[in-house]
Amino acid sequence: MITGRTVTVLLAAVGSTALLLACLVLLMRVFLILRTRRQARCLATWEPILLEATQSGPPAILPRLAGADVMTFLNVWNHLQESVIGTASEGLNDVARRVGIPARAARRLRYGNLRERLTAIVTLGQLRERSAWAPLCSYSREADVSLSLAAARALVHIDPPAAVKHLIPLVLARADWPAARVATLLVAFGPDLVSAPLAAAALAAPPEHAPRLIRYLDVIHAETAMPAVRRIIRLTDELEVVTACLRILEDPEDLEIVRRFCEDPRWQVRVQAASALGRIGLPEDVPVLRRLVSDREWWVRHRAAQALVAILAAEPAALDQLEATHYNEFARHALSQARAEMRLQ
Amino acid sequence: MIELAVDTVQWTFLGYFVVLNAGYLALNVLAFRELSRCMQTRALETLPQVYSGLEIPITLIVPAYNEESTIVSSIQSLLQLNYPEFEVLVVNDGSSDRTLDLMRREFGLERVPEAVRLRVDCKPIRGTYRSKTHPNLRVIDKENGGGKADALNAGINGARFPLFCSLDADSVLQRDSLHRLVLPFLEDSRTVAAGGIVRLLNGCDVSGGFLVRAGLPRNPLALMQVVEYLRAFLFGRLGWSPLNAVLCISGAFGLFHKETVITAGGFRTDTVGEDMELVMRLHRLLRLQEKPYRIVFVPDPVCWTEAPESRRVLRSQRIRWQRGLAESLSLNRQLLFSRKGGVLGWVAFPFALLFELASPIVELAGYAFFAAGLALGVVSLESTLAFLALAIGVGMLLSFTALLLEEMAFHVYPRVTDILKLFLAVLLESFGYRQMNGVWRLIGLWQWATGQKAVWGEMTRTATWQRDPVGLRH
Repeated sequence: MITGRTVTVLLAAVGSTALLLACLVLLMRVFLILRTRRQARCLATWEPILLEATQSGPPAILPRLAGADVMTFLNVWNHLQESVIGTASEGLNDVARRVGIPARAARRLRYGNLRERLTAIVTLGQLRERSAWAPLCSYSREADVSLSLAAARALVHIDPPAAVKHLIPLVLARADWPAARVATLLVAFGPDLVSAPLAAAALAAPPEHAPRLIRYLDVIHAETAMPAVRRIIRLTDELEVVTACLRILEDPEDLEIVRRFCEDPRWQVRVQAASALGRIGLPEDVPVLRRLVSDREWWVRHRAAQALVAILAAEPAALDQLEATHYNEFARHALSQARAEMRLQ
Repeated sequence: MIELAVDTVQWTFLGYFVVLNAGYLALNVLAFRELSRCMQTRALETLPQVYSGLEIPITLIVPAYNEESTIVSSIQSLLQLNYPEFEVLVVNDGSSDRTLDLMRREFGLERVPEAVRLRVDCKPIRGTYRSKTHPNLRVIDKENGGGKADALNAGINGARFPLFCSLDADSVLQRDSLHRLVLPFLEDSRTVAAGGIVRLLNGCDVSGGFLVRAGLPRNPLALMQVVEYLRAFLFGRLGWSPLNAVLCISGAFGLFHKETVITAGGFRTDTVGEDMELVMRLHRLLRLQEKPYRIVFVPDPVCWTEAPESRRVLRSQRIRWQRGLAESLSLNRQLLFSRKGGVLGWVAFPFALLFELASPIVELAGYAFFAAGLALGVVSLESTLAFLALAIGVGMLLSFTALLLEEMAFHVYPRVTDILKLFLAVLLESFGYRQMNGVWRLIGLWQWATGQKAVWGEMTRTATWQRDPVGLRH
């Protein structure tokens, strides 16, 4: 039985909760307005100083940086650091040290919430703060992907050679690190520093990890690692590894390796072989590509057609004849498309 | 005996709304946690992005049927998105207006003999085009028929890249929308689909294809839809995401793994809720096959779209949505209490069945029951007030929590008066709009139950938010 008292309590609860929520929303908006104004004041003070620091060095006298403004300062400071290089960066570091950022960032690294810790990690990396090496190493092993990757990047900034030794095993072990972010990290190292250890890791890696590492070699343009890639493709028959290697072969001396895979029973391999021939193939590869352009798999036909168009680019008559006389209708379609695409480029 | 029956019925109604609201409250808690975490990690996303070349390329599929008023500006804005590798694939679905002609003229389209692989059924393709001025713009011209689903399937067949993003022709994205939406795919290779928030363009200003000012619509129907959308996305979907139980990714803005969708058979053309049905089917097939996967909702990336401002169009939309829900649940009923269903099969699916599909029946029946009972003196005023408090009052609270989540994370609407307008919309929504919606949803259910032919209806696009309309030169 529902009594009047129950209903009164229920209505009062609903009404007061609604009122409370509405007040909370308004309060949050008030705080947002105040916060935005404070941030605007902070930016109005510090943005010109930081911009001046990137160009002609910091001014002799700097204003005091209040605790409540540190995060705003770090956001704009980090943003500028990511946008400048060389002495401009030094100017920013000078300003940061003079307002006590290393200690403030270290405190946030230890006690801050997730956002503060992430910001602190980026800051300490940009400052090349050696004293933060140990905690950053520890963070690079964290389960949280954002924290661990940010820490890894910071380590690269602080001491690249030492970071290579620490991070390459992590790159191998952390399948949860997004490939695109790892690649950005490795690019930051530069090919000279990371090619050899990465290539060695790729050689020693189990088949399920090797393709990922090989792709990284391609992204960092590790020409010095190509001997390792050639060795890997000779030693293994694992699909993912073979296709990863074929994807990055682009030296004419790799032609013999590529040709061997043109008749592979696996279509994924034939696709990459056809693509590779498009990069390094010669006119004597045309007969092989003629066969591949009538392959039962669409992607093989498509890549083979593109390869033929690339190789015979200077012989339009030969392409005309090929397109007109190929016995396979799908092959003719693929060639027609590849040629039309080439004309539009 | 009658008293017992009346008591039972009224407690059933009350119990229903207690459970319904408890469920939404739980979703709120989950959404709050998810949003808090998302906001914290945004600290790094405001920094300049460096692309490595390993980002997964994306095909943006834009079905277009008689979109001459917006298609050029839509494509122009899509081509300006910040993402390292993507293509825009417009599927002209047999438009009878100047959609194709305008695209040809504005983007230098040239016909190309493309060998499109027909891996998913679709109506015949009449031609394929490439842009001479924009290498990453392609157009497929197909015969009309099969609705948006068929156009999407044609787009899937023509897509070059491993991920495709389904968009509406009038969707307005933010420059970094793709970059944010693709993150779940980069972070976890099990991800097969991801959806973002859809917000309403009505009352906003768009220039150069991008939002320049967010605002609230003056039209009361559109204003109340703002609140509805916030509820639906901010806790309705965000709450289910960590449980891998998101039942719908909006066709206006969803990112899918192409091969997974092809294996599942593409979009069904015999349902009006093709987006929801596909997501449920992906869940069903992958769970039954015991393949690890994730379907997630990402609160950050935003898509803006126009909402109906007339009762006629809104009615048509809501009837269609409820039909779509009924069709999707029915077609994938194998999930319900399936041994392999997990949280989805044992919680989310029954929740959708009981509290999304059946709610218009229960709510309207409840109004009728308590009104009649009160008039006849068999139901007390206290019980009626309790019912209204639960059905309407707590519903309002949930809308306020959606506003709280919005203010906590996004605060898109800049003025304090906007917040006050939203408060008003929350209050007014519950007295008239909600009930009207209930009737329309009931009609949708009735149409589904009686097997009536579905009608898509025409969405009248006003495009009044567009500051610089292009493409209609005379």
